[in-house]
Amino acid sequence: MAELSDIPNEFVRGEIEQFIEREDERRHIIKLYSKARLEMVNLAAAVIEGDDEIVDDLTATALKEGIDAIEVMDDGLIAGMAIVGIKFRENFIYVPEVLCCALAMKEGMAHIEPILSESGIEPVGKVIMGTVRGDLHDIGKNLCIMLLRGAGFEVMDLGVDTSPEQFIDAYKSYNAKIVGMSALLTTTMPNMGKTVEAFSEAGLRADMKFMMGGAPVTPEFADEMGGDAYGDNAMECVAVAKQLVGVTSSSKT
Amino acid sequence: MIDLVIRKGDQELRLSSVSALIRRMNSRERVFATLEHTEPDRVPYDLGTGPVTSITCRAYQNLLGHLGIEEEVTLTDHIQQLANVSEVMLDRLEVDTRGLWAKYNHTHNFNPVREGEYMVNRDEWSFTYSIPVDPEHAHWYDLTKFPLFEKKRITMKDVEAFDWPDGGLPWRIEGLKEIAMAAHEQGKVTFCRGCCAGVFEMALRLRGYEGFFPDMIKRPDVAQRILDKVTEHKLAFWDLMLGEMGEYVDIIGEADDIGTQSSYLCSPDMYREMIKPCHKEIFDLVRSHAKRLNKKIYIFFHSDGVNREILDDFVELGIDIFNPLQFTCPGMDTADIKKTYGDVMTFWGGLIDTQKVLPFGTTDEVREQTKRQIDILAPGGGFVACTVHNIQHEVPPENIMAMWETLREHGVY
Repeated sequence: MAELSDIPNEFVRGEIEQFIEREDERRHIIKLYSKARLEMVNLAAAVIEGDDEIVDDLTATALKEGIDAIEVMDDGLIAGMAIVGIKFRENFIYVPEVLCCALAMKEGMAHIEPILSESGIEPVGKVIMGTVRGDLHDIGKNLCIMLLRGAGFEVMDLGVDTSPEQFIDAYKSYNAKIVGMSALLTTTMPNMGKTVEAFSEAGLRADMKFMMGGAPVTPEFADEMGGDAYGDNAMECVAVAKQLVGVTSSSKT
Repeated sequence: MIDLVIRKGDQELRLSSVSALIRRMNSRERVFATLEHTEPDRVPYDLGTGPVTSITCRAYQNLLGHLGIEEEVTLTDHIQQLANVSEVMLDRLEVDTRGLWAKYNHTHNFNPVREGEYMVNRDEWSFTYSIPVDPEHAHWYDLTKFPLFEKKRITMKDVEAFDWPDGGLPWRIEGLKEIAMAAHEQGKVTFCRGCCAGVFEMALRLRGYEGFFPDMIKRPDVAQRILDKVTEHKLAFWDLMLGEMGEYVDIIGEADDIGTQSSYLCSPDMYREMIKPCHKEIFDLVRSHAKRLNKKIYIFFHSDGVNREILDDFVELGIDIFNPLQFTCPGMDTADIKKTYGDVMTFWGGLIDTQKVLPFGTTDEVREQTKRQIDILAPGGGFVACTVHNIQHEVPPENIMAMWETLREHGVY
């Protein structure tokens, strides 16, 4: 069994010791990091520190040295975000810190994405995201998108004030299986249900999974609106999306 | 307050505490009694006094129809589409407070132009706000462009070069003194909301979330400078307002959203280090004016969502009134917070949840929750009844009146 001492980076060892309290998560993280090569652990450390310049540099170097893009993504970037996610969930860090990590991750993904799409490698999953009709709030939705991309999802961002027709058009052209909807206003929340209905009327509901979130949205409301899943925050959004595509969080965090 | 004195032989019984039973208080007596943590005749009520205790224009229109009142609806806040609650309605609902709406970017020089499918407004902060043209989907103006967002790594020079609006311009308070004097003559309490959103909120709007949050971590000196520039704007405003008409201002309203629906926007420590000092500077200035005027000016502070861990900080800052007590959020249990802070802070809000029960509940559910909240918050005073946030467009007037009637029935001491 892998030990903490097997991880070749003191900073990462410290992070795990200090912040990963749940035994199953600690075992999973140690296993993940102990099998990774040094360059990847260092890259993950830069993601955890939210250092976009170092992530940019280390990702470019790793790819130039011939390390496989998937390995860089999984063992470096996503592994880093796994620790960030737990720290956020447990309130060790807050949105400003998570955003720095996500932006650092984005720098790394900018190198990886072209390679993945060129080689035809399928992403973890494809998600269409939008704030519903009549609602122009997008801060939470944007954070979700950033973290979804950080977790290896390909995301089509429809922006704000998205009509049911726009969601359907996006589905037809993009072929995603998950639609994520956000609303901040109680006035616009029912538009989530209207979007789901529009998919049903178009005969497309069976193919789709709908996930919902936003400040006034509750699990019960999402259920009433015909949603398949609800996320309380951006980290939960990622966990939910993983569940919907059948990737369990313990096997692929 | 009139004391009731009963004499029997040489015994004298002074019943000041029952004065409420024999005489109805006026609004000023009622509100000040509760702010001083004593029980008035009934729980005071606020609707429409400020931009977080109001009602949107469509909900207001529906309420007017329901009550059979005819009037033309105007707006106090274009961004949130808040109705100007008329004197007729304020009287009808026996509202104890009157708002002094200073002119700021939500209220003043609002001249949107059509751009494609949206009406778009640019204001003195260079904020771009948009709303769909289609009336069916036009609910709110939302910030769609952040003036300082373009540059990823912003510098001190960029901050200094920004065209910062002056909070101390006299037109901001034009006409307010007359409104305040009239309110006092009517026996009402005046509430003046500031000249822009909270310092943290304004910084986020200027830089965008994806700009300002990383600034706080990577460029804390620049982030602090932005917060300080907004603070300067506010100080100039309060200096003008309280200097010119402080004797007519009973309560000042400031705000900053630190909490989210389930946690905090930044760590409580980061709040203490970067934002709290800005709040302190503003409140110190307000108190210096109060001292000069030899009167009390109550400080109302709005921060919705989760605030449990920073309520001690709010007490330390000398915040008299905490709004709104969003009791449905984790850690914001009404009874717990009333028990812990009820002696030192007045809760203004917390009457009913505006995300679920008020818009979507039945009138019975509205009554039940309203009664429960009054039962917890009213004892000992320190409670001004008000919805947790603005009443939104879709809220049925029946629910608003069910809440109000319950307040009238149960909110009596």
